[in-house]
Amino acid sequence: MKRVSRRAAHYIRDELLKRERFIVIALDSRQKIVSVNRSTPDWNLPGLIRGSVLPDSLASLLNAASDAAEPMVFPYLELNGFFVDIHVLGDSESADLVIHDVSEAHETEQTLQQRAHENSLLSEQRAALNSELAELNEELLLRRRQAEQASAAKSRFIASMSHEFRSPIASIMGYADLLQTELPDSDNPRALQRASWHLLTLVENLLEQAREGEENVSLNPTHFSLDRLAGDIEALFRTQAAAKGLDFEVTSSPYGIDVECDELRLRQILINLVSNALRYTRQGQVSVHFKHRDDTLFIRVRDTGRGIEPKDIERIFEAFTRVGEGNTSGAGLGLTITRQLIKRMGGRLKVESEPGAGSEFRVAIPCPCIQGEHDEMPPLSGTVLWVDDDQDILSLYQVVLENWGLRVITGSSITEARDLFKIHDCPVVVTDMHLTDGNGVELLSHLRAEQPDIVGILISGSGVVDLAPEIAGKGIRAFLQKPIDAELLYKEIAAAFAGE
Amino acid sequence: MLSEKAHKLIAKQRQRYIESMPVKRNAIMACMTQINAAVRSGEPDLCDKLFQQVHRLAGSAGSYGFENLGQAASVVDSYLIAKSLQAVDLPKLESMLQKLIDEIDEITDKNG
Repeated sequence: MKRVSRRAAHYIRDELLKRERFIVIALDSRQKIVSVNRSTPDWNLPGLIRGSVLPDSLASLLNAASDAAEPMVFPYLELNGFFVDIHVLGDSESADLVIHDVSEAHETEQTLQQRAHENSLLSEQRAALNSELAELNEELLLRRRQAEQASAAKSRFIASMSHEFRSPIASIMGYADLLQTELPDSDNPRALQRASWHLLTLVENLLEQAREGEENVSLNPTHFSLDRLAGDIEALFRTQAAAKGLDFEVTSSPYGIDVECDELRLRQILINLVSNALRYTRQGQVSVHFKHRDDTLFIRVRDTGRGIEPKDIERIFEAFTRVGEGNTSGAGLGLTITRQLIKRMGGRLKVESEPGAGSEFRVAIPCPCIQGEHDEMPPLSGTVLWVDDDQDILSLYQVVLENWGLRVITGSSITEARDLFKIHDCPVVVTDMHLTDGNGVELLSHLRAEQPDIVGILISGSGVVDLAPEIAGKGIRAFLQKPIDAELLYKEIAAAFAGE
Repeated sequence: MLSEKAHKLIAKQRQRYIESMPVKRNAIMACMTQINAAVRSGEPDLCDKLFQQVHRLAGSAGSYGFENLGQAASVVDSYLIAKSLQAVDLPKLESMLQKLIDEIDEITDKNG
């Protein structure tokens, strides 16, 4: 400030005096107090009495500054519990002491210093923590790398083992195919193939889990019969369902089509879904329905099991997860893999479930039909005479044939059959080879003598006997082995009624 | 494919078939006892009776889903079909029948 008006100078002084506390002491040449002026009346220091000698503590400051040409300031002195700046003005003839209370400023400074100190300590602690964190991060990275390596090793192991399993299973399946060719009427090679498919599915499940997340896993579409697939699924799970007392039904439409799809993956999906349905159903029914339409295969697996709570619907697809009460067997991978496979095949999966009532899994997979679609197994009409001395066979096939729409007359001997034939019009006769009073060839000869255009189908449980020479030229349409292939039986009876 | 009604009827038939296992077992055992006596006395009809029993089992078991039982019965059936009573190797027949009885017992135990 170069030039300040008197008014401004007074203003500054007044404002300063309002905010700050000063004591101004005027002294004479003998250091006697001439006057004491206080900016704040209630602030005082002992010994500052007009006419008395300046207290020693202040006198020493005055002496120290006596030779100074300029005013001297002694900052931050502690005086009677206050922190003050003491300004010494003047010379030995007359002097003024200005005592400025700076306790508040001092306290602020102390606080700032304290905080600075604390900040310094905190900085040190932070540096130490950062260092510790860096070490932990490093260790974490190391552990993560180890875990990733272990996971990769596990996946390689599973993939390798699965591959090792695949070869012998493929070999078994190959031999089963060969056996089927050599023993076309036996169901045993088929059972072997079904079991192999099941085993292969379990192995593929492991392999699928091992390569989870891998991209570019190729599909292997092949041509196969949808009916055969449905029949295999029924045969594969029939015993398991019966053991639990469950109704098990597999239906398929339309009948007689071949489709193009990755059969192995499709079987995996089916085996996973059906085995799950059977596993979680204690009573009632499990049904599987195949429907092919518009180059899409629709599969519905429905059960009357315990159902799934809405909150758990998504969790059932998590690997190694079991939902609900009661543990059951299995690795907990089936549904996880099923969803992965369906996604990979470009399909979709929907689940609907009602706790306590059951669940329904609906799958839709792109799957072109490569053979013209036919009608479903159409119902037949007509009367069949079935002759067998085994009541168990008669009861069973009566149900099967009636299901196809046929009327069935049953007899257990040649004598009874001949009597029945006189009463009923039976253009098709199915007879067992071995009867209590003769054999099936003899029976058919008797009946043809009465009605030459009847069609005979011969059944036998003795597969080792070659009956071809015996039945040649006797109007016997087919010779079927027990256990009877129902599909083959249907075709033969249908053809017999159609006059083919 | 079968209708729901047909499935239920077949399931009932199957249950009846299972329930008939003890009767079938007793019949086979009775035949075997008699064959033992017959081999000594030279009476051929008893072998035919056993053949009837086993032959029926060989034919029906597979149709009801009991493939192992059908297989065991087929083994005996194939053995007996071409054998006269005099040609029967009794220990061998007994061994084959024991396997058949074991299969019957297994079905009875599992489903009984």
